[in-house]
Amino acid sequence: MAPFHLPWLTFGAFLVLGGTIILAFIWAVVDKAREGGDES
Amino acid sequence: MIVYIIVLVVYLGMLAAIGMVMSSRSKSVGDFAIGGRSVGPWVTALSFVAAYYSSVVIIGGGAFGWKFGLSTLWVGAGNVLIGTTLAWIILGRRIRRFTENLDAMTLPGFFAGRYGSAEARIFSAAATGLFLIIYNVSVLKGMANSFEVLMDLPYWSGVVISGVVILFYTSVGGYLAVVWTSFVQALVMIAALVLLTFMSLQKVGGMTALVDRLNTVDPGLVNTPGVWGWAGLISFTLIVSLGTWGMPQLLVRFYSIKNDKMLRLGTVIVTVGASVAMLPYLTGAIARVLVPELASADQAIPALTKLVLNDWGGALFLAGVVAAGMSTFAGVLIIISSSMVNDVWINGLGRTLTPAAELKANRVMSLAVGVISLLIALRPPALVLVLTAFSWAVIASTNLWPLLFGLYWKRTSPKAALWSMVAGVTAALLWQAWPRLGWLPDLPAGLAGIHGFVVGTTVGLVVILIGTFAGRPARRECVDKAWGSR
Repeated sequence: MAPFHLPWLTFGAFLVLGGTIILAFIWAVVDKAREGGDES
Repeated sequence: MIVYIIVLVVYLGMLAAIGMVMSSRSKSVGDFAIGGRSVGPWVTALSFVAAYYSSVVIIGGGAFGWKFGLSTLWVGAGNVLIGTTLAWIILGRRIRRFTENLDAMTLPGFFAGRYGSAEARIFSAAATGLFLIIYNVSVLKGMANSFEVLMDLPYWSGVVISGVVILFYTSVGGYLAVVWTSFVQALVMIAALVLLTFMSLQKVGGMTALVDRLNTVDPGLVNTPGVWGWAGLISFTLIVSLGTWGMPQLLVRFYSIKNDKMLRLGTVIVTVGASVAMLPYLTGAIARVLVPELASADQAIPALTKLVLNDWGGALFLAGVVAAGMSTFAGVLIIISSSMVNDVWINGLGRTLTPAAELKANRVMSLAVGVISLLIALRPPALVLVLTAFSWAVIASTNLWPLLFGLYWKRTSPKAALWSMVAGVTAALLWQAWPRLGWLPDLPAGLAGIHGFVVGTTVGLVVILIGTFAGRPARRECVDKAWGSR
C-alpha cells in the first residue's frame, strides 16, 4: 500500500508529477552545461 | 453577492487597464501577433498554463474526478508531463528558431515557409480558424455557466460581461495584452485552485481520510483504472495532453519568447505552474464524498465551492474560473485574427497592405471574430454544440504531424504534410459523426469508445509517413532557410 492508503498504481500519478518536475530541472541544467561546452 | 461584485469589478478593471497600457507597445503587426518576440520566461510560462487550462478544464476536470474518482489524477499528470514539459523540451527551441528563420508569425505561416506550400498554409488556416471559433464558443459558454451557478446571474449576462472585457483588451493591446493578462490570470487561477483544494481537504479530514471514505463508496473510485477503465483513461489523457502539441494558441508562446535560452527557466516554471492540473480532479473526488447527491457531475466544483469557501473565497474561485476561460478565449482570438489577416487575406488572396493598415486589419479582425463568437455563444445552434466536442481533435489532427515532422525531419514531403492534414481532419470528423449518420452500420462496442483524435492523428501519421517515403522533400532553399543553414 502506498502513502495515504492509495494503491501504488493510483499513487503513481503523484510520482510521475514529481519526476516531471525533476526532469525539467535536469534538462535545464544539462542544456545550460551543453551550451557552455559548445562555447568553449 | 456584494463581495463577488467587488472582486470581479476590481479584477476585470485590472485586465482592461493592462490592455490600455499594452496598446502603446503594439506598434506593428509583429507586436500585435507575437509581441515582437520580446516576452520573458515567467510571463511566457504562466501564460501558457493559463491558455492551456480553460474554465471547461476546471469545471469538467472536477466532474471527471467526481464521476471516476482518483484514477483521473493520471489525466493531470499527463497534462504536466506530455502536454507541458515534453512539449516545451521537444517543440520549444525548434519552433522559436525556425519561426524566426522563416519570419513566420503564425502556424500556417510556418507551414508555408518550411514546406514552400501555399496550399498547406490555406488549409491549416481555414481548418484551424473555423474550429478555433467553435472551440471559443465552448470556452465562453463554460465561463457563462460559471457566472450562472456561482453568482445566480442569467447566462446571457455571463457571456456579455466576459466577452466584452476580453474583446476590449485583445483588440486594443494585441498579443502583449493577452500574455500579460494571462500571466495575472494564471496567478489568480493557481491561487483559487490551491485555496479550494486546501479547504476541501481540511473539510474531508485529510488525504488518507478521503481515500478511506471513497473506498467505502466504491473501491473503483480509488483504484486505477477503476470505474473508468483503461480505454477511457488512456484515450482521454492522450487527447488533452498530446493534443496541445498541435494547438496554435499554445505554440505561439514559443514564437514570442525573447530568445531560446529563456526556454530553460521557462520549462521549469511552466512545469511547476502546470502541476495545478491535478487539483480539479482531486477536488472533484473530494466532492464525491462531501456532496454525493448531485443532478449532474458538472455541478461538483461549484457545489464544493459553496460548501467549503466563504464569500471572499468563492469570489476568488469564480475569478479563477473566469480567468482560466478568458485567457484561453483571448489567446485563441489573437491566433484567429492574425491567421485570417496574414495567411488568408494577404498571402492567400494576394492583397497588399501597408504596415499600418495591416495592424488595423488585425485589430478589426480580432474584434469581428470575437463578436461572432459572442453572438454564437448567446444562443449556440445545436450543430455548434455538437462540434465543440471535437474541435480540439480536429485542430490537433490538422497540425500535429506536419509540425513535428517539419521540425525534425528534413526529408518530409510538402504534399505528404498537406495530405496528412486533409486526411487527419476528414478521419477525425467522420469518426465523430459516424454514430449520427443513420445510414452507416453501428461500430463494434470496443471501437465506438475511441475518440476521433486517436483516429485522426493515426490516419494523419500513416499518410505523412507513406507520403514522405513516396514523395519529394521540400525545396532545398525552404529547408535551408528553416534550419538556418543560409
